[in-house]
Amino acid sequence: MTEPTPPTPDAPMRDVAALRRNIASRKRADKSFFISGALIIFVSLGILAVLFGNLLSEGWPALTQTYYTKADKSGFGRDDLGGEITRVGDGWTVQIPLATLSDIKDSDVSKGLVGKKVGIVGRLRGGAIPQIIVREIGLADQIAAADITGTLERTQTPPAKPGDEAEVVYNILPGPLAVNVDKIPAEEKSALVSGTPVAFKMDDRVKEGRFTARSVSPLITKNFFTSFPSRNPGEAGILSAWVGTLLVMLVTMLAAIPLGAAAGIYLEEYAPKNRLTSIIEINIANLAGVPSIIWGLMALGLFVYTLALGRSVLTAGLTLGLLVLPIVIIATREAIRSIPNTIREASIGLGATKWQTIRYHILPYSMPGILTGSIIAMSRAIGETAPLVTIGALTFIAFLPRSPIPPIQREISVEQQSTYDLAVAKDPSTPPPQPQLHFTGGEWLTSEFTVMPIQLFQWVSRPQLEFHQNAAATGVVLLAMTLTLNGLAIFLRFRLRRNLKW
Amino acid sequence: MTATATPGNLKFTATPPTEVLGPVKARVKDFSFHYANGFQALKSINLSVAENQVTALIGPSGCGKSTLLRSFNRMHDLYARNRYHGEIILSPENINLVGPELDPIEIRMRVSMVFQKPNPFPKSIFENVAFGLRVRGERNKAYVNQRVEESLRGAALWDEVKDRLDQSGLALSGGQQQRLCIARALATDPEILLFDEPTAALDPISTTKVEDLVVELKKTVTIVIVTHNMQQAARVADYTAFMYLGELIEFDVTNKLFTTPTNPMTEQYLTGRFG
Amino acid sequence: MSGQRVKEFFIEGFLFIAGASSILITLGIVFVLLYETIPFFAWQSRALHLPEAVAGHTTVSAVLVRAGDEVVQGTPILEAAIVEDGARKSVQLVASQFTRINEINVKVGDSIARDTLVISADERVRFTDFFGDRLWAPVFDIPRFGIWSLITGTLVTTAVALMVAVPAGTISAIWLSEYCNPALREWIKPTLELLAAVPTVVYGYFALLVVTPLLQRLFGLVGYDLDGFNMLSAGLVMGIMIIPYIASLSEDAMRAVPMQMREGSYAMGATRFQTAVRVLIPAALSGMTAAYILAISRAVGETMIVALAAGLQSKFTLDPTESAATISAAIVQAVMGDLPHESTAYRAVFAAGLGLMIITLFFNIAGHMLRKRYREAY
Ligand SMILES: Nc1ncnc2c1ncn2[C@@H]1O[C@H](COP(=O)(O)OP(=O)(O)OP(=O)(O)O)[C@@H](O)[C@H]1O
Ligand SMILES: [Mg+2]
Repeated sequence: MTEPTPPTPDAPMRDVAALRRNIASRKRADKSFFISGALIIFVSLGILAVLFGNLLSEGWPALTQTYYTKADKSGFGRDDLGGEITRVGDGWTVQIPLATLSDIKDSDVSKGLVGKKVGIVGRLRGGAIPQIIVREIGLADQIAAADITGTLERTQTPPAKPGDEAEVVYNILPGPLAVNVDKIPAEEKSALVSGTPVAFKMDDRVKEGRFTARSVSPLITKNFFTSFPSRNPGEAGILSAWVGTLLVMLVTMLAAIPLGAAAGIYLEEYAPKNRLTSIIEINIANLAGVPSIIWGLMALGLFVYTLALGRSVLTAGLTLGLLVLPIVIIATREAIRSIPNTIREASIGLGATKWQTIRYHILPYSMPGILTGSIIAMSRAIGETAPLVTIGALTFIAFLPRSPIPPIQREISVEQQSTYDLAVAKDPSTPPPQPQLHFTGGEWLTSEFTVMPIQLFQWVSRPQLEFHQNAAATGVVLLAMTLTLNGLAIFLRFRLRRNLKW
Repeated sequence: MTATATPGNLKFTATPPTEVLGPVKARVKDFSFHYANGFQALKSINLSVAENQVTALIGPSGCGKSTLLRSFNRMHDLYARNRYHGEIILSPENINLVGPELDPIEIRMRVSMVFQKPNPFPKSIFENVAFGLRVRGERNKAYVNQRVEESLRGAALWDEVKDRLDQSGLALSGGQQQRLCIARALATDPEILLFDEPTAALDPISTTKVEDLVVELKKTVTIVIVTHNMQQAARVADYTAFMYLGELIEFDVTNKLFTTPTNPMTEQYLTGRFG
Repeated sequence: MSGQRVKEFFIEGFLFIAGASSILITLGIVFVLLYETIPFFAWQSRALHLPEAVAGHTTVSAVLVRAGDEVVQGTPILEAAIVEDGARKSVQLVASQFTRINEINVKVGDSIARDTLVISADERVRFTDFFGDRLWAPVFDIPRFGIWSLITGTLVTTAVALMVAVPAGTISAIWLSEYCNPALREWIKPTLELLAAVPTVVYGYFALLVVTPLLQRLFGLVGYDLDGFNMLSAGLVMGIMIIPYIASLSEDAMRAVPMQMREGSYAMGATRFQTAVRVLIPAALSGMTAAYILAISRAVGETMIVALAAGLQSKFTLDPTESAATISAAIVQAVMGDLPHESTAYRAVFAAGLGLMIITLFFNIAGHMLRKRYREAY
């Protein structure tokens, strides 16, 4: 051993105080990074919350709306009127909801009418609060044919700040309108029960609180989920869109899951380690990254024009099925890969063939993984818009494809009807034709369709604010669906990890 | 102090630790350690690390050598819920290394470590060595250059790499990588240098180089080394501690421990009857 | 036994077909794109139909772009239209740069009947039209096929998105892998990934109806009038969308860095931040680059956000506050107009799609290779 060398003279860190100062400054950097990182994640998650919250608050009126179909469809001033019916002695009266008079001026004339029974000629505008665009207003007995009669009321909200204008709103409290029910067909009359909302087809305009009804039908309280799209935003719903989405998803599922699972099984269990396999692998990774719009172009060229499948549910389902195929394949492979070789060896050792091993061991064990992947795939497919826009999915579909269940339906065919029409013309006592069984199972596949994302896209593109409400409401439904599917997948994955015992 | 385990049919008692001659750099007092899963890896260890000397930790696999070594620079703090009990007192300030009030970063700046598997960073040779200085925010280029050269010379690597300092540290051979890691640890002028089986992954020639280095380095730094190789311990260490199942069985001057162990357990181990 | 053998054979055959189907699909995509793109660039014969109304005697008055007032061989013509000038009807030949006349049997001033006018023309879009023009307007009267305006739109929206997503995603990745405790990470990571699961059309809604008004108000403060369609808003929202791609993939890459590497750094007295920046990022660089590249490919191909929020009109500009179409938005714009099958405009959509495909394919392959590299590295 030689003599010890003295410590290096310029080793600054032997000075503990300096060292602590140095650490303190570095830890500040560390801490500020910690905070900014947490903040970024928090903000990102916050954006998700804001997104959902915004959609929900914007879309809430549309989501929760229920309204009277008939009355809204044509509004006051046409031949329809809706309200709640009450039996009064021998007759009936109908109570229609309170309405806001949208463009009435706060003039001396209108002020003079307050508290009086007035008649209004006007049009009802859609929306959550019934608003009447007033064409004419006057004392009820002076207006010969009013669309609506009632008592006029004026409310004045004091200004929020001094200097602001007070807000004046005119409401009409419609008086009960007596119905002359003579003309109503008997079976409709019997359907009248006090308190039910009903719609009337009117013969005349309202005259002094009385009108004659031609037909009456219980008002269907429609809502967002049970209405077709419409030019009237207040009336439009996503019935055809969600039905379309379900049908398209059905095809997507049937196309993607078996094909994807089979491909995954082949690649993991059968594929030799050769060039072809590695090409297939790279190819699948690339397919997963192909922009969705390209899939749309492929579908347009191949399915719509070359194979002439049309702009149908089938085309859409197949397109999305191929689009999510890589997701299913990758999930299947990962699920299979996590099964230890011992299981295969044990099965083969017992004399099982390769397929039997797969069928009775590999498939059941990998099923949860495949399922998770399939759910993720579906959640991706459900929100896809661009490919469907490209194949020309229609936005205005006010009908439903014929239901896939039951596949066999009873109906009267066109020929039956025409033979019957001819026969009846000769002999009025000819029995009406009996509905016969028809196979209708596949018709929905070739039907035109719309889906929720497309409906959303279309509504967002419209200038009217009310349509934006509908768009938001559709967004809520769509987002709820994708988030639920994703949540389900996360949950399954958690459980899977916990249950994994090998 | 009684040992709980009995290898073979041998009943044994841990030998009380010998006090070291000369100044003590670190004193381990009643030190126990629990891993996050509740496993107690160290049981009431008492040990003194002599300044500017090499202290070797030997013992069968799983006896807690690495656990003890890693306590010296608080590596266990990187993983949640590991618990230290007792003290490791560092001279000259007499601070408790494992005290919760002490910042592990401060300790790691004073107590460096070289790992079993060489772990150079994916950076140039120069930047690997300069890492500790960069981390400290050292901006003086001349000083950094000087330290890098000194450290590489100190790690007996300078001549091999001086012409390719900007090449990746990962491009070196295993033995060179380990010496690079030693240079990296030296660059910040640590007070204690910990080696965890530094030659386990190296060929005999590289091993010799590293061993020579260890002997050379103790002039400037206190060294604690974990090794499986008893010849290595005999070659490089001034003091040796024999551990078994989380306990310190015997601690003594290397020569004495290898020639005349007081504890029959130690003898059994040295003669290769278990381990 | 042999029955079983046959069955196994068929099953394996079926599984092989399923496995190879991805290749067929790729070929299908490439085939469709090329099938429409090649005739787009190659001469296609095109009959110039004269409107029914050209009955009796009509006079030819040719309107030409380059040549004089005489229709000559090789002069491009787009449309033969009728012009009524008092009692006199004339056929006007409107020229475009995409058409080449093969044969025309009349001269200006000739008096012709409908069936005596024979014009046979070829049409194509030259590469110079495609890459040299600065406007994309395939359905204009005189169409323009300048892909560059779409490329600039794609470039700007992608750049804006990356400016949001790369820092946010990288910081999130570091935070998740180095700062977050594992139990919390198990929850945060999938939740963050939900950001990528939100349907892009919903993001489009968000960009157009929430972010744009917000930006307009912000820009209003400094007196700038922001367009209702702008690439900034689309890019920002797209950035939010791709944060999880970067965060998740980078985090995987960082966690794949062996623990020894971290321990080496911590043993030198580095803080977590220093370890992350000085050791983990260099070590995980290929994986992180892969993440960025895959994110770029996402942003380049993203359609609905840009179609809704950035506008559908092409514009050659690099100013993110302006409205401009990306390649994908232009495709949407074109197909929404119900293009006639086999028209040049229809084919133009596929040519643009092929361009998009090539760009994303390039990024995808690069990203895939890099990811493979870091997986093999440790
Ligand atoms: N992270 C951990 N969690 C729980 N127990 C651990 C952990 N790391 C090590 N152990 C246990 O602590 C004991 C001591 O481990 P340590 O790594 O210190 O052994 P060692 O003496 O270094 O062995 P070797 O010579 O094989 O490196 C062992 O029984 C080991 O199983
Ligand atoms: Mg060890």
